[in-house]
Amino acid sequence: MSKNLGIKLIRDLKENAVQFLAIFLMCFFAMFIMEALDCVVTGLGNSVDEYYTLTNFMDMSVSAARFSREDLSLIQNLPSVKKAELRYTTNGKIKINGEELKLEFNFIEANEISKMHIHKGVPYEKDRHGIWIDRYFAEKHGIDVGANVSLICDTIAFDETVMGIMENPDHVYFTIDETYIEPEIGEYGYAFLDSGDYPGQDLHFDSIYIDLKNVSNQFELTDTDKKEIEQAKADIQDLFTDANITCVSKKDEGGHNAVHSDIDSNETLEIVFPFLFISIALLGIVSTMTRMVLKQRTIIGTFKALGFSKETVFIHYITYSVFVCLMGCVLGAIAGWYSLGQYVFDVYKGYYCHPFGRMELSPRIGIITTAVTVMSGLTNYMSCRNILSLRASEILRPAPPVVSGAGFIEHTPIWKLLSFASRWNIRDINRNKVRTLAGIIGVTLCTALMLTAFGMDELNKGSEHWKYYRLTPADFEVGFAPGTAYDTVYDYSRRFRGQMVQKVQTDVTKDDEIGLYYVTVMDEGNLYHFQDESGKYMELPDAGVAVSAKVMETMELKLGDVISFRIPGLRDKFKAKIYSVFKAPDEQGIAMKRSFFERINGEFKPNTLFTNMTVPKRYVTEREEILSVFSKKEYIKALNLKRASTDQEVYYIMTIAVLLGIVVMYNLGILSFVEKVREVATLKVLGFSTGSIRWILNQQNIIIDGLGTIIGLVLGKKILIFTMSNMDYSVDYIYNISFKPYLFSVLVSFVLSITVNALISSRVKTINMVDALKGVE
Amino acid sequence: MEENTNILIKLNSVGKIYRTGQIVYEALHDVNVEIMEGELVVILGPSGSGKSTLLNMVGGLDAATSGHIYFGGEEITAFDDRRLGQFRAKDVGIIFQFYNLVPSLTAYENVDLMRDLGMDIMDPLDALDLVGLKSKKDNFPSQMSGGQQQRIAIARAIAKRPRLLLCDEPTGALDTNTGREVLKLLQDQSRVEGRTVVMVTHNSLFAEIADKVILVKNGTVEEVVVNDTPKDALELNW
Repeated sequence: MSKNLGIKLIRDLKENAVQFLAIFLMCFFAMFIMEALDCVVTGLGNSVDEYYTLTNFMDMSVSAARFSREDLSLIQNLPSVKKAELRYTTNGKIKINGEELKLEFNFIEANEISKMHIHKGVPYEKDRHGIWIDRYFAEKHGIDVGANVSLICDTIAFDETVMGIMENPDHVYFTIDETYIEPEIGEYGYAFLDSGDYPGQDLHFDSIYIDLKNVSNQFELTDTDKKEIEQAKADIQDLFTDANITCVSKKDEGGHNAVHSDIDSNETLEIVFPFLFISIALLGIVSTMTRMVLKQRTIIGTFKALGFSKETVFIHYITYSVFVCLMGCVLGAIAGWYSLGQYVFDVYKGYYCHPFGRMELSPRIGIITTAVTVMSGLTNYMSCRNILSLRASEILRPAPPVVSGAGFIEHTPIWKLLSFASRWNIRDINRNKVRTLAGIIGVTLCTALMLTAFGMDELNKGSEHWKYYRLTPADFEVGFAPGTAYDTVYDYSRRFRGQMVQKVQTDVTKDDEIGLYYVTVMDEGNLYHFQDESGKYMELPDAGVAVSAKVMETMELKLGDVISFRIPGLRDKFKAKIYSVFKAPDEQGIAMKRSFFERINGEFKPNTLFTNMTVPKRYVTEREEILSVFSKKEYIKALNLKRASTDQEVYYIMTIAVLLGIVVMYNLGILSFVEKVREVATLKVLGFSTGSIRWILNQQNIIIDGLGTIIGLVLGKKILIFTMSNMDYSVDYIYNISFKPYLFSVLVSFVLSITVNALISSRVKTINMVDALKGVE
Repeated sequence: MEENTNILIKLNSVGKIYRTGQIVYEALHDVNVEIMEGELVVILGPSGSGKSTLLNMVGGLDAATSGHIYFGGEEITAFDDRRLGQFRAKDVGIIFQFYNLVPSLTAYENVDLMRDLGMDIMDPLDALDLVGLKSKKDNFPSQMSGGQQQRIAIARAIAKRPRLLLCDEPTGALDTNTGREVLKLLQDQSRVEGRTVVMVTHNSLFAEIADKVILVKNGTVEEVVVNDTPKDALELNW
């Protein structure tokens, strides 16, 4: 663009600062949210991908009480298997400055699958003595290569020299045992040693790590990869029909699963909110530019008369929105990266351990910025197109007034019954359909945006109450070690007046659909409840199973379907009919009564006890059969920690939603008023009082804002459900939000828009009738 | 004068019809006019007579429904929109009744705007000097009187040294004294610079300063009067 048109553009932007600021802010906030989440998930996805590829992350693992070399050979001989390695994993201790800290020991014979990523020291080699310790633990406790460390494994004390400081891809998301709900990096560690360094007499390998031929090492699995893994799983299960084995595929591995879940959650937020912001921005562009082009009709005509080409004038006017949108997008992306993005990244650093962790700019940010800019240009083009297609002389003449009445209503008897204000407003709305529609859409989008943001906040916060007060109101949850006898758990249940539950994670199958879900078998009691999709308490069926709504949806199940599941430790699969559906905040799966499970020949082996009586924490260390003791408070604290980044994101979104609401309402109000100035001045000249004119204007605003608010609430609820149900496949909500999000949304959108419009209409009092009538052609 | 024998603009049977829905309005009918290079021509007529339509067609701002218009031997009625734009940019300077300055540009920038057309224009300061407003170069239109704004519009029009200067009621919004000064500037463009000036007005007094007067009434040219002894603009009084 030429120099003087550039100067004009900047001065026009200044003159219409409020309108363009609104467009700028909407693009700014859209890209702020998008980039803040995108830079984290892109960095997370790519860095984990890089890490997995470099270290040949396992495609699946099989665990059992004991594996022999013959078992390994059987697996290695499967046609789909490329490589397989034995591993023994057990928890022990490391002594540091007289203190014993928890350390996970991994004894290996080879390290070609899920390889250690050596940070310092020498790589692992078969029969090389020494220990390789995890980097985060080593750094926290000042352990370096060459140090001699005292260890305790399987109750045997021994010393080793540190050969390397490393990271391992199986430990991206690592909790050492059930006493930790969330990872606490550096508090405990993990280590690798050659199997020859096992201090005991007899090393029992308990897992086999498998690399499949046709599965890539990448983070994202293709459908073919998933099928290959499922086939290999089935082949392995066929090989070990007599043994109690558990297969874990790559996608269900703790780290992979957690990373995937975080990426999915952020990607949903990254799409929904920017989409709303950008829609509002485009609406703002249409309103602002249409008004500006109309206002500058004479200038446009003059440009054409002076000899400026149509293209030059087009480019000049399109540049307004393109420039503002581009600036908004770029600055928003920068601000998003350095504020919310950095915060979420730091939160992730607190529980993900991987060497290449970084924030990353993805091409999609460039693509979206370009798309928004192009869309804004196109929207702007639509605003200018009609006027610029005219000849210079036509543009220089005032636009002919719109000849339109009130439509069919004018010919009905009702018309005569209407007041002047109503008639004026009906005619005004009919004559300015686009402006009216823009007003309704603006209020609708703002209301929807706010209801989504406030609703998300309530649902997130409500999940704590739902899970720990309504579904499992017990004050304590006790976890029992695998293999604990029924009688032992039963004794505890008597002593602590608790409810026994058997909860295992296992494959649930329906035809070709297979998924790793929780199978819960409930003993009688009143400390573990279920709710249906409307939030009402429900009984588990007597003659079948209940399935969580999320599993029903994911596996495309329906009531009456028969599903099968396997209980680890048992050879045969169980089959059961689906009788009801329940909603679960997490741990999606199937649930049944103990009586039903036993009727289908299942053996009830409870591994969890819920109780309201206080269970001493020391039981975890003192009693072999007890793995964990958690109080409700601890769970809530852990849940809040886990939710911290999502909460922060929602707070940002809520704040932005309110700010945007204010800006959009003000912008639409001002635009609408400016367009009516001439009519208002005419009414004043004719002798209408300020009060009656303000009432006329406010009457129209109430109709538009009211309609927009109602539609916005309906749309907002739908967007909220879409957003929350797509955030994380393992998390679910009951979407019965209280009146509060509705109230806040109505307060901010309807009341705010009415207030803003009332304030704007107060200008009627000071309107300069002469200027207003002279200034408009 | 030798140069006055050269025809710059020629209109052959030009007509213009406006259609708005069912309503058809004939603004001009069978107009035949010749304008010489360097002439000061006044198109005179009452409101709604078609004089502005005639001016718009001469300047390529509007298209004739029938007939042919020639400028310097080229038929501008055959030009497409792009070529018409180039024609206006290169050969035509336009002065409007309400000045039509860009309100967000200063006096200097409004004149310099012509450089954005890709024209080799005179220094905007020199153009402002010619209209006596060099000192107002940094003022925005809203900071100047109507007369000053019109003089800036003249500076803008002449800065690109066009062969034709079209003026649509250039004094319509001005008081007598200011109007007289503006007319003097326009007359000088013809007399001193040798530029063809075509001015539309409903004020019959202005006919006294013109070399040629075209009387328009009800969409037709009623009479073309050649004035052998045009008055100096400063002598006018209305």
